[in-house]
Amino acid sequence: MRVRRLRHVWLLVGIVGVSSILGSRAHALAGYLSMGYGRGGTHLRDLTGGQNYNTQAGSGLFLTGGALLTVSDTIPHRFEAQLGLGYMFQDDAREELNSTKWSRVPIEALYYYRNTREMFRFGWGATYHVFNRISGKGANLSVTRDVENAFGWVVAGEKLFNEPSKEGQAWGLGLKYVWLNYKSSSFVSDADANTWYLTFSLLGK
Amino acid sequence: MLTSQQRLSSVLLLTVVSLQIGCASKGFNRGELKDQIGISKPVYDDKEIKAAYDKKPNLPRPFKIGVYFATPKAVKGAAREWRWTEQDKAVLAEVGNELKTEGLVSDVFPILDSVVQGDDLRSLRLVAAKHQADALLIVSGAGEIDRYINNAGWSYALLLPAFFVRGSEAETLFISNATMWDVKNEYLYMTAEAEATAKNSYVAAFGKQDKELIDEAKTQSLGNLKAEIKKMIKGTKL
Repeated sequence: MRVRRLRHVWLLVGIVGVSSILGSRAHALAGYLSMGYGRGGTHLRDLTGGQNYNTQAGSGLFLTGGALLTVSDTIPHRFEAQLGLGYMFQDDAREELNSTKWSRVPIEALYYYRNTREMFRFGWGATYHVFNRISGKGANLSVTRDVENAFGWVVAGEKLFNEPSKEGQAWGLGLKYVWLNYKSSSFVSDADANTWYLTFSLLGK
Repeated sequence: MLTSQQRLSSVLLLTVVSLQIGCASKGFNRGELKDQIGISKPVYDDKEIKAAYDKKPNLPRPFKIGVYFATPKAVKGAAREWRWTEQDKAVLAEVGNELKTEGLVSDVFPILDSVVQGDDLRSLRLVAAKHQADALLIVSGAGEIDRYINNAGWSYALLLPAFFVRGSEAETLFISNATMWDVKNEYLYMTAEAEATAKNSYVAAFGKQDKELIDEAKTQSLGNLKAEIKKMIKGTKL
């Protein structure tokens, strides 16, 4: 428990530190949007009592947005920090009356190396999922429960393409891998949510 | 036949070599910078060339100079975050005062942006004529910054070194240019050009902004230009 608390503190210190120092350099701040999808991890029905739904702990469609801070504005080797907040969910609505929804709010802090000549970037960082909730309807009502906040590690890579109409902007297509476990007192065991995600990003100048 | 260990070593060596090459400065695009400081477009028509050749100097002695600082042009890839400051203008005013003391010039005054309609030579001559200037001195400049990482900069991949390792380099080039024209007949009395470079190593998170880097090189370049202008005006055929 203490180790987890420390991780959270480090994440917070990192976010505040990077934002406060780099936020003062107006030219180094831009926005970004990222969306993607992945499937993987433990089947939640195995942890919640065997109801009839098919959702895995790492699965979900996500949309994240936030700030892109240039740490080293050198060419072609550039380093940038990305801080964002998003929403991630996986619906299982095969039967509308008995549907389930697995939703989370990920807070992400990633640090990227970007090659502006070859147009790609690789990054590493951390993610913290809050407001994690499984909700069910009808026969699946019993799956409804809150899941503890969860901390995880992330690696990501993207091939970038210039946005021709807007100088300096780019979009990227890539992959992201997240190592994360969800815990809940109502689960029979921890939920392994280690998953690959396909990502699509829009990066500001 | 290479063993897998040898193959891995070769790949690592190739990666390190290519990253080393990638570290190097990309250099400056002087052609683009020259385009930015040009005021009048080149003339290719024979008639125009002959007309320019036939122009004669007709400055009185002493003469009045109107000084115009051309607005920096925004060109793709070049630094735009700079402007002429009062200190820059003061440097050129010093030249005017020295020439006044020597009796070569009777008055030197600035031509403000607010009264200029267009930044082509004809419009500028018109404004200078309205100021009753005999000669028009146009000062222009262009700067470029090349930022790259040195070998220590690769430590930035770990994030924290970006807050204390001097792994970034910034090389700045500023070219300043001055041309003096006859207000009445567009006779070109002189052109002077000076450049300055400044190099800074910095910690990534606390590096100077483009404007500050350009200002350093600009001040140095204007100091050189000042000496050039003085030398050229003194040797000008009036």
